[in-house]
Amino acid sequence: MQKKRTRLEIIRDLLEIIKKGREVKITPLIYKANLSNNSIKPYLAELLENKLIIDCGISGKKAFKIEKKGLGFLEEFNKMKLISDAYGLG
Amino acid sequence: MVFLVSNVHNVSTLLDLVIIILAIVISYQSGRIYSYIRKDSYKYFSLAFLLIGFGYLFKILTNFTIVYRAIFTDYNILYVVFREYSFMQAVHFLSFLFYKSLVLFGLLVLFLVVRKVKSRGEIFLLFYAGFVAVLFSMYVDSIFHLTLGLCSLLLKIYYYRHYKETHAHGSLIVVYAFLLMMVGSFICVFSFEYPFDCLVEEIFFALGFILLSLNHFHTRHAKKKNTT
Repeated sequence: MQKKRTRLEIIRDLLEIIKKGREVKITPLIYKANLSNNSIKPYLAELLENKLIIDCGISGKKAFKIEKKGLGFLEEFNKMKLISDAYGLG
Repeated sequence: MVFLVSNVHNVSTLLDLVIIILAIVISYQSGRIYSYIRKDSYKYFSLAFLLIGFGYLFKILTNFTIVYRAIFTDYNILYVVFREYSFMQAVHFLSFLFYKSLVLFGLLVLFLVVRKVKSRGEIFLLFYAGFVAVLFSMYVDSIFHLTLGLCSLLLKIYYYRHYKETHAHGSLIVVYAFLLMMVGSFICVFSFEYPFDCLVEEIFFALGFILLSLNHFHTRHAKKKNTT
């Protein structure tokens, strides 16, 4: 059985998908990240709030683009994960 | 004797510097994680190590005042010397107070973060107990080392359980780090050869911090491995 993803891993997955797709709409994002409509909302709100991604959608339709800070997160993800796992801060 | 004491405090100052640098590195790295995901546990974790780092900065000050006092007590004939002496005693007392408070509160914050304590009542009670321990320890030094030892013991138990659950290699390193800190503190509780036993405590603490920072150097290695 596959291990449950941690919060940091879900954020990493979302950012990777957005990075690959450049401008990603919410439905493919839900599908590719393997999350439900309800569970993805707090993650996206957090990513937007922390300026890791921006909402570049038009006429009310959401589409997301990765920001420089988001790329920085992906670069430092391994380091963050090891620290988080070691100290149980997840 | 004066020469020996000052030598001990020189070594102690070096160890303090090592602890300060490593505490700041750990604090900085968790602060960076907080800047990305704004989770409070990282913020308080960073704060805990920052407090410990600042605490050891005051410890260095106490080392200087101890040496100063030790030298002057051998020549305390002049009035000026007496005046300097009492000034240094005040600095010594205050820097010891700050050192003890900051290090103990740092460990308490760490304990609260890892135990995920949210209740304000419990937090208040812990800090109050910490404050009382610091005050009493100004007169009976071993109370401070006993409290540090107990904090390290509780953190060690928590991380051992965490390691059993997750089998994360980093957690095992943290367990050993707190084990070293605990042993060092308990050695100093039964201190009969001041300041030599407390130097042993600092060596154990510095080793503990070096172990903790291994986690951070290890992460760099992991990052490089992943990118190639």
